[in-house]
Amino acid sequence: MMTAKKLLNKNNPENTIARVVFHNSFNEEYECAGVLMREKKDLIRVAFGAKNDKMVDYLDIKRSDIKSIDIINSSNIKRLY
Amino acid sequence: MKMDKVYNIKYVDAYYTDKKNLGQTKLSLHEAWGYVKRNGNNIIITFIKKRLSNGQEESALGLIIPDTALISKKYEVKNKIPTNLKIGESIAVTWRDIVIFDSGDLRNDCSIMYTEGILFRIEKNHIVLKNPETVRTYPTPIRNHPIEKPCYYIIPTSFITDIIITK
Repeated sequence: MMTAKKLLNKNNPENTIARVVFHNSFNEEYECAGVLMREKKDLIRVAFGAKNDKMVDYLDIKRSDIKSIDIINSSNIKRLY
Repeated sequence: MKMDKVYNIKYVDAYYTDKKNLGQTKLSLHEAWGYVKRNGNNIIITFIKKRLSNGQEESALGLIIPDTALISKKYEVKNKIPTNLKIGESIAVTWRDIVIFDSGDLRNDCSIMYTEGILFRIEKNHIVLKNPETVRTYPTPIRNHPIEKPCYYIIPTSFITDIIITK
């Protein structure tokens, strides 16, 4: 289980992009990457999609289900536009 | 195929509305983050992938967009709108639509749509059809989309593969 260490810097004007590995209740392992939007004691929110700069698709992941979180440097994000 | 790099993509999408008074129309800016792979002229962006016990991985949730949906000069496409089209004409438009998929309905290419309606407006990057009826012709089963006819359909010109005048 991950500790509730804060990764999100709300003073940073750039999005914080995170890669999260987590499991479900059947212990199947998943990985996602997206914008870290919210960090609470028991969960985090990762967004995948935005419309006119408003996040519309996201996933709430329980801290207890998280195996790892890595913050991705913006220079390592490929842009396709 | 391993998907390790994280991408940020920006793209446009079609939409419909039930508003009787349409007003100004414009395409929204959509943005997505995830793992990307190509399948021909389709771009598959995976939001969540499942790690399998054999070391492989498969998409569990994602989006498939036509490569022409990208907001990019690189993918700028030739306008498919015939110059002789007139506002008020009945037309039929064939176009490629964006698909959301999940592990229960895995896809690797875009849907193909056929919309009949009255040409209401031609803008730089989209057209507007009034009283449109849209059928998804690929993949099967063929079905209406949406089921109830909206008042207007706004289709990016970059999505269009064919337009014919029907009357």
